[in-house]
Amino acid sequence: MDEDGLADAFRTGSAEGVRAVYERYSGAVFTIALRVLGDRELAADAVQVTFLNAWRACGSLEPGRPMAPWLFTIARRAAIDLYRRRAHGPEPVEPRDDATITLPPSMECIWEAWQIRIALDMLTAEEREVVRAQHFAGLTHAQIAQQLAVPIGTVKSRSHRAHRRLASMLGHLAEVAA
Amino acid sequence: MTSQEWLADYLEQGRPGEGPDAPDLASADSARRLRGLLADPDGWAEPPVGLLAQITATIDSERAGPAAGRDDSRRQIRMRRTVRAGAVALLAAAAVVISLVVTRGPATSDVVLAGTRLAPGASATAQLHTTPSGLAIELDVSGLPPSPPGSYYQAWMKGPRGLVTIGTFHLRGGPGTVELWSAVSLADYPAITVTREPEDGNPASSGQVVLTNRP
Repeated sequence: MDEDGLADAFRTGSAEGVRAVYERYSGAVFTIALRVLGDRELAADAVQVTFLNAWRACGSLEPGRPMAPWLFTIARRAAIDLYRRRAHGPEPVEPRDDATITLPPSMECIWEAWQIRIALDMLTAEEREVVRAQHFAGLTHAQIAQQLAVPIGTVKSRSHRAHRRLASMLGHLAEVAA
Repeated sequence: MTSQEWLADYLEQGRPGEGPDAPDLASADSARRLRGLLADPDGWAEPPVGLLAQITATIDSERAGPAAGRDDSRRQIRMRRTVRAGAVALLAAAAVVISLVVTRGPATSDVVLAGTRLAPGASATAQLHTTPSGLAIELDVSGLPPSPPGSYYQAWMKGPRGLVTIGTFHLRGGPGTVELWSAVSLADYPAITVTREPEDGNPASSGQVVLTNRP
């Protein structure tokens, strides 16, 4: 489903629309909630609050307006609200070190994390698997080929294609001026 | 080579291009930062299974009546928090037992470390051996993922006099035993923690504790 179709389906408030939007964006919402809250349980709360608030506010999503920035605003607000509540609440926070940083990340950092996650989720499953193994697990192409039981040439072509796509989706963040 | 092709190559290979097509330093810095973010664990994390079902159930309930739906949503979040609070209480109780063993134990001790919310599936046992050179610590770690490139784990001992680092490691060869060394004693520095650290040249703790023997 393209972005317009997704927004239309969501705007109707139907369960199918919510499901489709969740499948497209829940990873990105979870990523920025984790970035703000540093806690999987609280981040899950933030995802739940985000999608419920978005569903309740779906009437404010105007036709033709891109959905991702609209949802980002709702998600960021949900995470920051939980962050503030945790900071003032009685529940113990993460075991603290002397040098614990207590400020939430900047708006730019959260926006960057959001866009990177969306770009990763736009890759095909095969491309994503290779990019994950390379960057997250730190594996070489040869190791990935061994792990996935595919020829190294296949890994190289998937990697090449995936990074071209990532560069096209994320180029504006890198501000590369060759 | 276009700037987009340069970026794709850099993201894939991690080597900045040279010659007339190479971008300026600021652009190369941006690309380096972007590549680092591709290794960020938060960027690959998946929300818990079953969350969509909870959301759609709340929506269905709210369709039936707004007040009932909001109550359901709050109840589900409260339930998750109750379970979480129970887990924290268990961890605290375990830590009390551990600290009693540690403070009253012999010079050679075993200390159990539990994963925090940043690494809930992780655990470790530290075997401490007194040697003429200091405290030799064998940290047997399980359930902790390898640190992504650009980051590492750092172990610490902490007490009333402050914080002392006892070593760094990455686990990229798989789980196993890490050898650490300390010049300070467990009696004076009873808290042992492991933090996740970015490779940013900053020697201070990031505060991102993944393993600890304290609640």
